[in-house]
Amino acid sequence: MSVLKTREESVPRARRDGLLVKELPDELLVYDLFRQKAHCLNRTAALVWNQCDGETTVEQLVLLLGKESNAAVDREVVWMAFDQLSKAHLLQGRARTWPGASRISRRELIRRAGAAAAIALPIVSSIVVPDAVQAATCRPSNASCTSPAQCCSQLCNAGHCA
Amino acid sequence: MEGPHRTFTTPHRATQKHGELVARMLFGAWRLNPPELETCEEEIEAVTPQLLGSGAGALGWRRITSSQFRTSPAAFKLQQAYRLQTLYAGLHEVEIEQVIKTLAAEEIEPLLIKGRVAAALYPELGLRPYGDIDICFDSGHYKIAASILNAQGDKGSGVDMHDGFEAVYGLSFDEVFERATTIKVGKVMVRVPCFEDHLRILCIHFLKHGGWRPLSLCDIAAALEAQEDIDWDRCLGGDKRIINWVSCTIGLAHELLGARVSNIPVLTGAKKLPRWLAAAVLRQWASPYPLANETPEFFKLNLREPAQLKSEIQKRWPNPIKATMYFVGSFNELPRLPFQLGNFISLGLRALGRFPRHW
Repeated sequence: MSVLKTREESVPRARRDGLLVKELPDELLVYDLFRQKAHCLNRTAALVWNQCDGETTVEQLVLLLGKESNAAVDREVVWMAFDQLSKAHLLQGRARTWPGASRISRRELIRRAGAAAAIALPIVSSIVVPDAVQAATCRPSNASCTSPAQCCSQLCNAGHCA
Repeated sequence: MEGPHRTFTTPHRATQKHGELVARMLFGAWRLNPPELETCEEEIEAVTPQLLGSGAGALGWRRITSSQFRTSPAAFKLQQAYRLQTLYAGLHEVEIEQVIKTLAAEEIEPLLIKGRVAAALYPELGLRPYGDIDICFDSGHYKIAASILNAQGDKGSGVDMHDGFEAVYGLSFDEVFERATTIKVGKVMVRVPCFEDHLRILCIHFLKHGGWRPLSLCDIAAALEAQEDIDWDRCLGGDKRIINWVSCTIGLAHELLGARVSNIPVLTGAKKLPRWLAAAVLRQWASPYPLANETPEFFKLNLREPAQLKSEIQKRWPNPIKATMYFVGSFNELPRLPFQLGNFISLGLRALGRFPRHW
């Protein structure tokens, strides 16, 4: 039972349904059609997410990331990626904290492995409509709208500005 | 660039300077390799709201992506806009596909114009945001299509329907349809006007809305550099006024955004832009937000507060470009005041339900 649990936590499956994915040179953009949220995955997070097939092991991912960043990569980096991907609802199953990720802080990881590791640290960030349009008279995010032209983002989704 | 004629709203140098900053940021931004940006971080910070608010955030990001400013806080906001627009471009592909399929099921084939068609002129679709799906029908299909799309509820709400091209663009729908070409949107082929017809549509659309949106002029600049052998006879037609409108818009794209126009014969007119025109556009660009460019309702004009009357009139005072287009006028050195005054009065009378609408 505990072996199964460990295996499940080691190799989660990436969620693929209800997502729109766009690949950019240095990052991966993901739009969650169910939650209407946009995420940006840096190369490390994208690499981990793309390998989340339920079969690849953490060890294999560590090797892959090491090859990619040309530096020694801690396995906690993989846990950290799982943790962030899970919180962004990009892994199958409920969002949760991955036990491995909480054992070590981002700062500690950087300190331990130096600058090379910093490059490899996974980042999953939310993309939000910039708030620099306060001076504008267009409608901000979440304001009601009937036409995209009314929104600062030029996007009116289901009666609300994106 | 100051015009020789005083308009009601005296040109404000500071306002125009903001517009010039917008123009500088968007100079060549549609190109695969945009020119090097000569600016400072403070200027980027100052112009960011205008770029974001007018939908030109992604193009702004493109201008600074290879500069030293790419890590500044303003750059981050522009990058976020680029990322979002890239994702939304993907979403819109699906929406357009659905609309076209729905209409095709009823044997209606419209022409897709503006937003998505213009976006194809840029190196990436995400650089040019579009909210509405602009589609044009011949009069016979317009009402049927409207009822079909209305029945779709939310799915049809993002469609901006146009009844032919004649009234606004001086083009016959049948002729445009006959000359039309196709582009692939998602998995479907969609009919779009030929390059020359669409360029005319983009130019007139820019002027019709008073030139307030810098992105619309970027569309024209991108189009001018996208195709070398433009059939100008087809684009301009024989109407002197249309020739005046299109050549002036091309002249603006050249003067304000640096569009390359060396091989364009119609530019004899475009090079002689009326002196007030570029300044009028730059004043609009200082505040390029959709709501800022909507004229407040005339019936809400409070005549009982004389102290506020001047500012209330100023808010409703038409910009010289819009006023010229309202009266189907030509862009030349003649004063714009008669157009503006006439436009103001007719809008006021229209509010009272006494005057027919031109557009």
